Amino acid sequence: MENFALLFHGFQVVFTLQNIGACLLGALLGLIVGAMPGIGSLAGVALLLPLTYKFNPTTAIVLLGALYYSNMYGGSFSAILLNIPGDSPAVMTALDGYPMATVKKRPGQALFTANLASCIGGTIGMLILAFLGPALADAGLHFGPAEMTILLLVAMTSIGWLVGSNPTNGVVLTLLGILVASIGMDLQSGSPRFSFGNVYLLGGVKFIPFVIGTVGFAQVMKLMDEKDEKAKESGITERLTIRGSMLGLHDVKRILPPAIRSGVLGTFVGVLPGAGATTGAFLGYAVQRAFKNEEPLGTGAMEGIAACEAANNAAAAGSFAPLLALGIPGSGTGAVLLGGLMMWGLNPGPLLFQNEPDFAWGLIASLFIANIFALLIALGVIPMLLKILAVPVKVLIPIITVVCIVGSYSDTYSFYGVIIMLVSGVCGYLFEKSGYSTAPMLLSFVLAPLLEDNMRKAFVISGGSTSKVFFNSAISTVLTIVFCVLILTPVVRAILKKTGILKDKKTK
Amino acid sequence: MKIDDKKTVKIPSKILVPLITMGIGILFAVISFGQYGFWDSTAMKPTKGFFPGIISVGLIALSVLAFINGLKSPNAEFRLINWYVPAAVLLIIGATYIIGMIPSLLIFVFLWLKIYEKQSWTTTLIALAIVAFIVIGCFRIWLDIQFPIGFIVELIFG
Repeated sequence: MENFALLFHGFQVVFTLQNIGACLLGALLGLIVGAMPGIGSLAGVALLLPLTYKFNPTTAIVLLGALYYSNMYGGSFSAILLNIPGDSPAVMTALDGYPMATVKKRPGQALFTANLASCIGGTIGMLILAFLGPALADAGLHFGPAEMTILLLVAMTSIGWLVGSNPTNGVVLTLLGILVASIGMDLQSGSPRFSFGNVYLLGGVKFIPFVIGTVGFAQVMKLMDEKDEKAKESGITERLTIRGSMLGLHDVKRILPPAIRSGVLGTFVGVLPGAGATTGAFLGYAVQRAFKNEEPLGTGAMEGIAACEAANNAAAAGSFAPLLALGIPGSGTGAVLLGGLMMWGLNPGPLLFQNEPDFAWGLIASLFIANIFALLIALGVIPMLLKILAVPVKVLIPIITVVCIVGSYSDTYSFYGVIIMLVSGVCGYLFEKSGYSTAPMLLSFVLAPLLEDNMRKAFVISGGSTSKVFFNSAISTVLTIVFCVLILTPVVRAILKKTGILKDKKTK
Repeated sequence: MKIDDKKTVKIPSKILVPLITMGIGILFAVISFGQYGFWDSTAMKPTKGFFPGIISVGLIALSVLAFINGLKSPNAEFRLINWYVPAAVLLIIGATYIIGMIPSLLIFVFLWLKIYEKQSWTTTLIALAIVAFIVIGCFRIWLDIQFPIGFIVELIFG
């Protein structure tokens, strides 16, 4: 009951004209950016971060939360209408969404099924978050610097593992991100570190230009490959209207059970670091196969759309639990959001719910409101969706480039920000093109100060004894074993492949 | 403007990237251990080189592994066209010193869409209006960001 009272307090914090306006703006922009094929939620959130400059910290966080959350809605639009998923969680939505829109000729209803299921899944995720977040934070209070050090190491390594195709490459960029973050001032001694005599580097590599470059600008460079591809035409012949998108009682009855089931499942998947919305959507769809469906999955079944959409939105809500309670984001987008929260002086971690209840509960409450706004806006934009999705990539390229430049300039009021954006963008593009996913680098860049602080404290407490840090308690021992497995597996696998004991998938 | 879009360059980036990260690791390790030190045995606490030192050793080790893995991988192909965007950013930076940032950005969008992409006037003007709304409406007026005005305006208005 206490949690409900605190959640109610969160609603009181959020219910100001400015916060509601920010929530609406975040939901609208998040939805549009999420809907545009080629941008994706990670780049979308990164590009829109500078918009928070105008607001006070609470309003800025409300805007960020709404932006992040409504982005999840947008990905399904292009999946349903064009068979092109806007982001990776929407891959499964296309399996039933596109046939329902084209073969069954129910495009509006397919879109509304996705939106309604997203809303149901998200609401379930947020309700669980309201209880799980504080419970996780309570558990986190038992974590000392040693346990936090290993937990952060596990979180960083597991994301390096789960994102991208090659775990070694993921961990290489994780470590690179940490080193980039260590440039600037050493916070404990207050002396410069790796500044190479450059005045600008004394202030460190700024987060916003770095993230805009790594994801936004790198994405623009990648879009140059696609700019001359002929835009895929929608197979939709029906006119999209709000009235035509409404669902009957029978349809609602069909989508409720999978949406509720996937909502619960997706939330717990979202809590796991690195798993996130994509895994949630895949699992939601896989579980739905075990249940009875009115039509076979893959042929335009509403149950299929509802299962994956509810799961991915619930996972997005669930991922806030470790983010707020332990300061550990579950994905690249979560890392960008965490960086944005830190920029506003909010330090997610076990003490957040005690020290900053307005922030924590205000953010959770704003997710509920963003969920409703996103549903209403998603319904409202249905008649315009085909036009939004038809914006050619070649027109988007200069517009996004301008946003990258002004966004990074406005963070530093100098070309230092633009140069960081340019260098990190070119590097990000090179990395992605060479098979290195940049999401782990963003995550480690954000978490590096927290890791260093905890690691140094842990070693001071242990008097320099490594065993006292890594085997200090049962929690740290278990986490150390998990960490060793994550680190050693790619090495062992590479040796086994080299010796021929383990065969490549290709050679099979 | 006729651009050969098919012009590609094959770069062994799958071994170049680990070589670069290895180089960064070595640089940070040398500075961490050589300049900043690792452990202060008097105060019994880590020095500022402790954390980056450990990380850079890890980076060197994993870069070696990534390098070995990259030896077998095919080279990545890079198209010349992908580099037009960073080149445009450098030109915008240069132009900003002369005519200011806002005119530079608007001219860039116009030239890119009308001259390079050969878009219609309608598309170009709509894109220009969107960019003007973002840069002038959102950033300059709403967020009150002072963009550089360039030396020509400075000369005229002091």
